[in-house]
Amino acid sequence: MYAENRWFARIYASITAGACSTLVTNPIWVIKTRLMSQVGSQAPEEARTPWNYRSTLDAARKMYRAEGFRSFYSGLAPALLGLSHVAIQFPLYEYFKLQFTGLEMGANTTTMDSDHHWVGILAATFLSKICATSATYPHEVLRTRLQTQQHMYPASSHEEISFRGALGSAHIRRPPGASSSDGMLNLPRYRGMVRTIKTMLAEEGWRAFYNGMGTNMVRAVPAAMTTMLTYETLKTSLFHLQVEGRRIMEQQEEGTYT
Amino acid sequence: MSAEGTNSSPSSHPEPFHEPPTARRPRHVTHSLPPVLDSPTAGLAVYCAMLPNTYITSFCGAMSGMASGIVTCPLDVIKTRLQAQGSFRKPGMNGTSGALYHGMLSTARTIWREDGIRGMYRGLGPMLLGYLPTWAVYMAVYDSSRDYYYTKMGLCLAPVSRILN
Repeated sequence: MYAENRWFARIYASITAGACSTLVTNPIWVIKTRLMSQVGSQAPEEARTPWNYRSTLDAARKMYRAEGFRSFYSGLAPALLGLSHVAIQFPLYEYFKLQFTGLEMGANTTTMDSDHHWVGILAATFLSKICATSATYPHEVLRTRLQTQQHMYPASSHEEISFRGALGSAHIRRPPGASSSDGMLNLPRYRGMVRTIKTMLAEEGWRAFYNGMGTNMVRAVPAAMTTMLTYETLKTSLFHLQVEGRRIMEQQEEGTYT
Repeated sequence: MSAEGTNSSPSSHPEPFHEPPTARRPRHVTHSLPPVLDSPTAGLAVYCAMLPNTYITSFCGAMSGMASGIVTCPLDVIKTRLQAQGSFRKPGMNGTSGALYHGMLSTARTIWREDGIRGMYRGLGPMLLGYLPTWAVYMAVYDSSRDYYYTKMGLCLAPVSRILN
């Protein structure tokens, strides 16, 4: 019964944390995507983006003036839907880490040696990340299709040309997962979640929902392992430092510090 | 509510404690302490001991974001190269006849040969700008909101697992 509550507490905490970090960082990602999708001044008129920013600050200023505050939060709704990923990853990570090392995420103890936990941390991250990715990847594929309105496979078919125009409009081609629906002009091919799913199933089969997951994991799993190992290791060393600091402070108060 | 939640027997067994008990020490106490700290490590230890938990978690989160950015940047560069090479092809061309890169490893080798370490870490700056706040906020909020939900649900902060006992 209490174990169940713990699962819920961790799921809620993951969603809260994910929502906060999305709210804080969404403007940064929007600006980054806009800056990255700009093409050079030699590019043909059709390929150019409707904006022209010189730097990050310039982009922020121009976006605020031309489109208002809301433009920094474009693509927020799908990004918040993506919180299901952390809601799976972190509770599972806590579970696996507790099994392997006997400690929760970020927890430390003075009674046992917590320096040799890195294998457990890495294994827990590996398993939890793979579970979370497999569970949420179809949703990401769907989101990418809806946002960019493009087929990733097969590349350069006539269909692609007919939907995007024969002129290479380079700024519309974005890699999957580069998330933003920042007002780019795309001809609607998929409309609505259910119809998109039906279209994809009819045209490409269920495998389409797992297109490129292997490549995605090659990037996502090492990234998560680095993040968690760094976090936990640093947290443990700072904890030991804090314990030492408190000891010194107690000694100072007693006047026995040497 | 359980007896576990009240946590009334500290002497029965050594429990891992979650938050340093003196973490939120008022500022004025700091200044009244005599400056007798001889080594910089001791000074740092005392400084860390007085930091609120949120500072610690967000700092650790920021550093972990930086580390993951450094690890993933080369992978992102490789992925972008592999994906972008199709987009500069003319619409009529078919197959992979004109492709420069095949597979992740050979792409990595080509980038390394042509541009070295700089090629691998192209675009690291903007990436770190995104990752640092993402993980700093995530870790800090996760840590404190998990404690909040634990207390709200009547659970003690740190679970004592079977392995410890």
